[in-house]
Amino acid sequence: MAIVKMKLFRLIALEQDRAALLSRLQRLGCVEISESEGKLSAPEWAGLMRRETSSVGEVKTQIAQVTHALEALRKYAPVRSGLFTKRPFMTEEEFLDADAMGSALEVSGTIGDSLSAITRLNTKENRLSGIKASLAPWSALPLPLNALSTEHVTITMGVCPAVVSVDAVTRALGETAPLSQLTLLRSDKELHYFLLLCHNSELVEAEDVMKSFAFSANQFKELSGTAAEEIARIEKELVQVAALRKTEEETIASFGDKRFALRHCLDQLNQILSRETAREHLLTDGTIIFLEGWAAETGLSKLEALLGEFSCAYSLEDPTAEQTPPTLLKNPKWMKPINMVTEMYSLPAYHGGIDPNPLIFGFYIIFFGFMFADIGYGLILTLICSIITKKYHPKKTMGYMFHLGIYLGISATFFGFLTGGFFSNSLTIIAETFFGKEFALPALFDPLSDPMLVLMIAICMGMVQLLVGQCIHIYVCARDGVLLDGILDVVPWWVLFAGIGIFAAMGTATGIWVGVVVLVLTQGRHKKGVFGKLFGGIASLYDVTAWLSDILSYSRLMALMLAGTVIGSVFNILGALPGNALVYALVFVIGHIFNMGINIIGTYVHAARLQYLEFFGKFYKEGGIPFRPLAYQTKYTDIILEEET
Amino acid sequence: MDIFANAGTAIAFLGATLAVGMACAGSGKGVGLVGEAATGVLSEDPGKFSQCLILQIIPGTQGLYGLVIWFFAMMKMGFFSSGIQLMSIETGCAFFAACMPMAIGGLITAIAQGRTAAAGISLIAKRPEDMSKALIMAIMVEFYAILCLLASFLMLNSMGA
Repeated sequence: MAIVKMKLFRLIALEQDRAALLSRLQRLGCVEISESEGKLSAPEWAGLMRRETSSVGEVKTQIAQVTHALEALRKYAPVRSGLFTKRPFMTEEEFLDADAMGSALEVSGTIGDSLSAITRLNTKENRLSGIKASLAPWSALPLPLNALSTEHVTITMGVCPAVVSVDAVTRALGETAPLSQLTLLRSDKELHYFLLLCHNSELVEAEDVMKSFAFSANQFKELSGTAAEEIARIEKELVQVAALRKTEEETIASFGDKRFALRHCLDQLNQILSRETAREHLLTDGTIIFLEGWAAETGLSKLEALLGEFSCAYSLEDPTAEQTPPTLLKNPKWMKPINMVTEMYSLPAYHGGIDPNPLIFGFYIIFFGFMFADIGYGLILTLICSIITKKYHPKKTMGYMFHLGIYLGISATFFGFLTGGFFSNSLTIIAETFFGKEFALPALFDPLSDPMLVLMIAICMGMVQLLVGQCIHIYVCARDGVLLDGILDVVPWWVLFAGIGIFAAMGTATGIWVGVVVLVLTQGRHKKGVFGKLFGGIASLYDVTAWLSDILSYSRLMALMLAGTVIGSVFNILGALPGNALVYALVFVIGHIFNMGINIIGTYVHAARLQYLEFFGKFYKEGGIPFRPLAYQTKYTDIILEEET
Repeated sequence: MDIFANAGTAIAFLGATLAVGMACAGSGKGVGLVGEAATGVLSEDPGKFSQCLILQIIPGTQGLYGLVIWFFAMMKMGFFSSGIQLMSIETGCAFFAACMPMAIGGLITAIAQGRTAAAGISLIAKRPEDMSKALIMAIMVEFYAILCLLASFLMLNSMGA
């Protein structure tokens, strides 16, 4: 329930223990190894140590190979998979199994070979298709393509642009080179295809004439048959290429059952990668290694026990105020899901921050439930989130999200009972339309008929949250030894609020004036000089508007509660109009799915916003750097860690 | 004069029409803006289709809200049940005014939301993992459309025509 204390961890150990040490630290998962690059800029360090080398590059290559293999499997051996993949549990021994990794790498290598073979075949296919396309216009020509000319006659195949008139070419050629013959084989939109026969004595003249008509010769020197024969040969070759490609694709598809092995291997490689990346942060002189980082206090005893097994020297120090240790929040498991709301904003600063999770947990869930108040919606949300959590046990943010969803659903159901909403007013409408009866769920208040009451409740909830925020401010100040500041920041405002309360109840404004005077006297205390203090105090009165907008901001609680109910009820009324149960069911399903969707996102965001801007504004010091220890981080598998004995 | 007898109804109709018409025009424009941006991204990476689609439909809700208000106004005028009743100019103007928040708010917020969502598309083009942030940015605009819907709805709801 707090920000975990960090210790500055420095370690000198033997180079020969490095691999074992890093593996053990990764397993422990409570040490973040920081970059020690800065050390080397000091000459006395640079003289002794150098950066540790690593095989990050090689591991990354392997990761790329396995990733490609998995992509190929997705393409050539597709399996239907839902939004979530189920992750199998493995023991650590199974997870770290080097043989499994070796054979998976072999498989990915084979798949990689097949993939490059496919690429080669595709290139070949493209080339052949190109030649085939260029031969097609000549398919009527019964001559071999590379042996066109005879002893006295040169035979040329060539094309002219389609804009050239065939008559004009023939005439011009007949005038200049009468011993030539031009045959039009074919014309399409762009080109005329000619066969030019020319006696060698007139060759130069004929070529000149043809050039003036932009004639260009087509040459197929490497092809020996006629165009038709060559096309037939290429087609045969294309069939072969397709067959070969199919074989390669089948080879890849045959590894379909190795999908999991590859994923497991990818997870293994990623663990190695994070170790290797950590290794790059180490300094070494060949015999010893130096490591610097942050150790979470929660794992200190285990860390010290671990280090006892190695011959090494280490120190654990409290961070000074200038150092910025990373922030790690420790909460009970049931409260952790709210962390995703905190993370989306910013973690608290290590110095002067406070763990916001326990503070916003209740507010967030109550606000969400208030805005989403509906028995039907709440139950569906709880149900879906419970099923997903149970079946797929998603981790990290996803896991938090669905776990939080369970709480939010329960809260929405609770408020649904208060407002009597079950898919908005569906029960009332159904009873009225299909049974001709009047029916309504019992409700404490009806948001549609009494929106003012809802607004009052919303504003009151807001005021409670803001006052709690101020109390936390006092607490944080007291913890950091400036209790008086904390009290002076907050209490004058309370005097003013009390004054406003008295004014509203009894009509005497004296209390308000007392509040104003106290504010003017206290809020400028950090300024210099009497006038500075006075003007600072007067300026603080302007904050009344900030308070007003903060409080009014909570009216969104009412707005979203009503919006959900209104849209839902409109769908109910709309569906009931034709008086047909089938139409009603259809409109009901589509309409309420839409309403739930849009409201979950909207409510989620606005419940969070009230924490970030209004609540956190009163006390929160953000800017913490997340703690990223060297630890197992898996995507496709779950490792069951057994306690070391 | 008949003109004055019918004018109230006509004004009320005009209000309802504008509520659905302007809100749908805004949504159409908003959805179109996102669609343009999404098509560009899809030409590079067809795999982002579902993410783009979700962002694209967000500015579509204003049109639906407009239809809800239109429907509600028409229902209050008796369009679906007893047939249209003639109403005084005062009542007609009240209907008109009640429809205006949705008409104006729907038109403008839908376009603004379309822009935000289109910018969100370029965000997920570069960082697909930040889909939720793009979504949140766009949904922030939705709140004001919801407020307009509420204002129009509460006003219409209090009218007994």
